Amino acid sequence: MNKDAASRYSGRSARLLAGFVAAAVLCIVLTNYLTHPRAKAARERQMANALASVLADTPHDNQPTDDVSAPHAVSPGPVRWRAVHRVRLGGKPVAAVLDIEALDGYSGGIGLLIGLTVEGRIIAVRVTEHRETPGLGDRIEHRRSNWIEQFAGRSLAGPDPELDAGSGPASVASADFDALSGATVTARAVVNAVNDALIWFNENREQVFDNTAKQAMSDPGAS
Amino acid sequence: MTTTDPDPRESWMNGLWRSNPGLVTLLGLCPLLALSNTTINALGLGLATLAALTITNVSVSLLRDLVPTAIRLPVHVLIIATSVTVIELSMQAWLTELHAVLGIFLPLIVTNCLILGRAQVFACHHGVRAALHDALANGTGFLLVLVVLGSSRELLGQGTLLADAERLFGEQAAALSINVFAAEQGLLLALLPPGAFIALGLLLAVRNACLSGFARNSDTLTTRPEL
Repeated sequence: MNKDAASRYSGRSARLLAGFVAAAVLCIVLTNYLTHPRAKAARERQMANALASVLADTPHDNQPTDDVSAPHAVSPGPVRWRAVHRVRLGGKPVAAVLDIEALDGYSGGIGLLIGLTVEGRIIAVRVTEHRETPGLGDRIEHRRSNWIEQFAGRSLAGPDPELDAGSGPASVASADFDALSGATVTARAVVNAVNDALIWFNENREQVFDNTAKQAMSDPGAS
Repeated sequence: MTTTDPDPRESWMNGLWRSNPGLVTLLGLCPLLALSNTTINALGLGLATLAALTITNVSVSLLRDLVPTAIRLPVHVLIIATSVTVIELSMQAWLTELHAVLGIFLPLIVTNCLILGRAQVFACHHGVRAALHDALANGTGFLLVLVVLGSSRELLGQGTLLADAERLFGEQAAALSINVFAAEQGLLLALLPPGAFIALGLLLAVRNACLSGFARNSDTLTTRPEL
């Protein structure tokens, strides 16, 4: 092959390769265009189900999935804030769902949804995602064990005064929880993260529900 | 460039048994070991890999006379990456929960040597029909190993079979799940990463035992992988 033919050959190869890249991009763009609405709807449905599971039957008339205030302050402790969903009835705040990630799990982050009444009492907590050890740490999942139900009814202030003082659930501190045997680190990470989140919520409640402070993000699932 | 296409029966024999990607050539071990913790995860990853392998092999075979040798590798990688992305996007839309569980291992199918191997070694030298048979045979071989590993680990580890079937087959499939015994009595080791290695090792031992049974009077006990 002489020099001329060689350069023609590599020129042709380069054009061909560029053509393939263009075709591949087109393919992916087209697929994304066709699947995006469906994927978005599925994600929103999942989010709505998750929110419903930590709100129990708290009556509300807004869409907590869309009524989001971006967390505007950081809390102490190894917690990453994702979003705060606001729950209202007739325009008045009744509850909030904190979407956070405890960063100090046994193997990486543990995503948590915390449903709270506006007074700061826990309705329910659920784990959204985690990479804890199967069979040990994964008992924080509600479908594996009912450990996570211990959070219901607790608050920083301690037992609900309206309940019988002796039997009401205690505060949110590791010592007050049944341990998960074989998963001490996991359980402690979850309890501490919830505790940190509650402290933050108590201090920032006004801003969270303040409509003028930060407007709701339009598409929380898009990031 | 095209060599004679092998008999489809030959392809299936190779893919399923003689040079099974999961048991003999041991290609794609990382996802095989990581996601064989439940039957449904194994099935999901196996089907996604099968689909990617099929799309890739057929496209590579169709384009084999168009692509000069100099750019063959980048083009093949591009085809694989595109087909995996398309599959991933579709799973995100239709199998959202399973997509979330398979996580990073879905895009990582791109790096599964099985797929590039079949494209480079087989599909770019053979006709579309032969390439299709080859892809289906190897993909099914991989899928079967995944499912055998996945169901045995799930059964030993948590006492269930086909748990979370609704992730793959929709709500009405939830009834498919079988509870054999309570999860607390399971062998935790089977679910953990070492369990994957042990289970695969046992599976390889079983295959080799079968082979040595067949070939007692032949002088070779191990068969060489046929690519």
